[in-house]
Amino acid sequence: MNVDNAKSQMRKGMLEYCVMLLLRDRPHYSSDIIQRLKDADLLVVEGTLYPLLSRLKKDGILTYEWQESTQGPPRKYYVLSEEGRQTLAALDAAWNEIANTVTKLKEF
Amino acid sequence: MIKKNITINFCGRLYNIDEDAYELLNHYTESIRRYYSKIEGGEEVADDIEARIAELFDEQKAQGRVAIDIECTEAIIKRIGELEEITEPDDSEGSDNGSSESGNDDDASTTERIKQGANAFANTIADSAQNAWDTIKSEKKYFRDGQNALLAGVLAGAAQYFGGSLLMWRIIFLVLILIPIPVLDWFGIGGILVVGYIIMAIIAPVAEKPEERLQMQGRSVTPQNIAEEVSKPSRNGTSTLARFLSVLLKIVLCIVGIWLVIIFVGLLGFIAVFFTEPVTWFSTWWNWDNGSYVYDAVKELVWIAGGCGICALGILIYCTFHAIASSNGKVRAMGFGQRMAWFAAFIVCIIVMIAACFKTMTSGRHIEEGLHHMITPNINMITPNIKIEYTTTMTQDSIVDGMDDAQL
Repeated sequence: MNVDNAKSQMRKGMLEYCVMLLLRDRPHYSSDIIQRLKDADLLVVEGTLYPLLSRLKKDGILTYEWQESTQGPPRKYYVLSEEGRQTLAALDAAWNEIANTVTKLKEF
Repeated sequence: MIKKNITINFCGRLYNIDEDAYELLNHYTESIRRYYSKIEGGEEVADDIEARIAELFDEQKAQGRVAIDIECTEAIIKRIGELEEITEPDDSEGSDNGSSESGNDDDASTTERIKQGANAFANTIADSAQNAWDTIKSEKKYFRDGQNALLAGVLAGAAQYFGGSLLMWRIIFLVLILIPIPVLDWFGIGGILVVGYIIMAIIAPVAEKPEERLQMQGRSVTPQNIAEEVSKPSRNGTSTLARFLSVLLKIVLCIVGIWLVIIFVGLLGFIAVFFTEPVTWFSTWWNWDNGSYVYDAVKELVWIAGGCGICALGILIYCTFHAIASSNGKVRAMGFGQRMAWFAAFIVCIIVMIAACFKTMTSGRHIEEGLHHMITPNINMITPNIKIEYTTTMTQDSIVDGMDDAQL
């Protein structure tokens, strides 16, 4: 079994959830999201984030608003929509379940 | 090392960027844009990615970097990821893992084993066939290779396209041209090869852009490969001896090439002269006045044939030198339309020349027949008819005069 491959699969599965988590409290600029995800070692190449954001936006989970920036052109700040919050709650539950299962299996 | 630097307007801001870095960046953003233009909301993804690149450029500028160079661009592309890494593999990953599981070794009889062996063999063959098919289908394209060119890079391109070492290609080519092969005589093979070389030099494009160089080598056009290709030293410093030899070879090839082209066109001209020869020959030999009138009629055709031959030769020589110069990067290579126009002009010249030769040839035959009849005393009676048919009115007049005289 290829460990790296399995790891990247796990990361991919988690990425959407983590992006939504980051946006739960306040709007974020995409480069901030990138920085956070990179710090958490979740993102290998930055470009992956943009199609993901675009898809989440298409699904109505998040929206964005333009904000002026002190350095450079205006920036897109991503916000979680109401639908996004509901989805996030569902995902939270799912995550807890998975985490519980894994913990149990490990103890067993 | 000196590099050309340009200013680009990228995401509404200006950046000083090296030319090779620009090539790389441009290809990268283009490929992303092309991919995402097919996807709903993809334009926005491409915009976002470009904005991110601009932001990273800004970071570099803030750190005091005056010009964005190729290393910096490469690093940024690596950071953002190549197109294949970015795209979401949602539905492209099919899982097929049910093919190789029927391996019960319990009663693996000999027939079973033979079957397996045959299967494996068939698989290998299928694989290699697949490989060959892939090569044909792949992006590999024929280009003249300007970087490794001695003359126009036709052979260097062939070595890239068909494989094999360039030296081998050159040796075989030279041997076929220079060494007389008894059966396939001197001109036959050598001339065809040289003319073929020139035609290839005219119609085949030279690989100029990094993408084209990659296509020529059959490598996939990815930003990584482009970066590698762009940052490669354009012409590796060779030893003095090698340079001397290459110059020598160039001179020899030029002389041989021009010589063979002249022979080729000369031969076509000779065909024309050969078939018109009877006329001049007869007119001088028999000192026949009418012969010169006949010759006048055919002379135009000879002029046309000769003119076309010279034009064709001129086109060949001009295009060859242009191709050589373009493969050395001294002149901008001809565009597709330009190449095709020259090629068409060349073909038209050759066709008109051959047609004129042919026409001359047939008229020559008729005249020959006519003259033959005229000089044969036994069939003197038939002569006037033939003369009226094939020669000038003046002859007719003289005949009529003669008849008038007789009547008088």
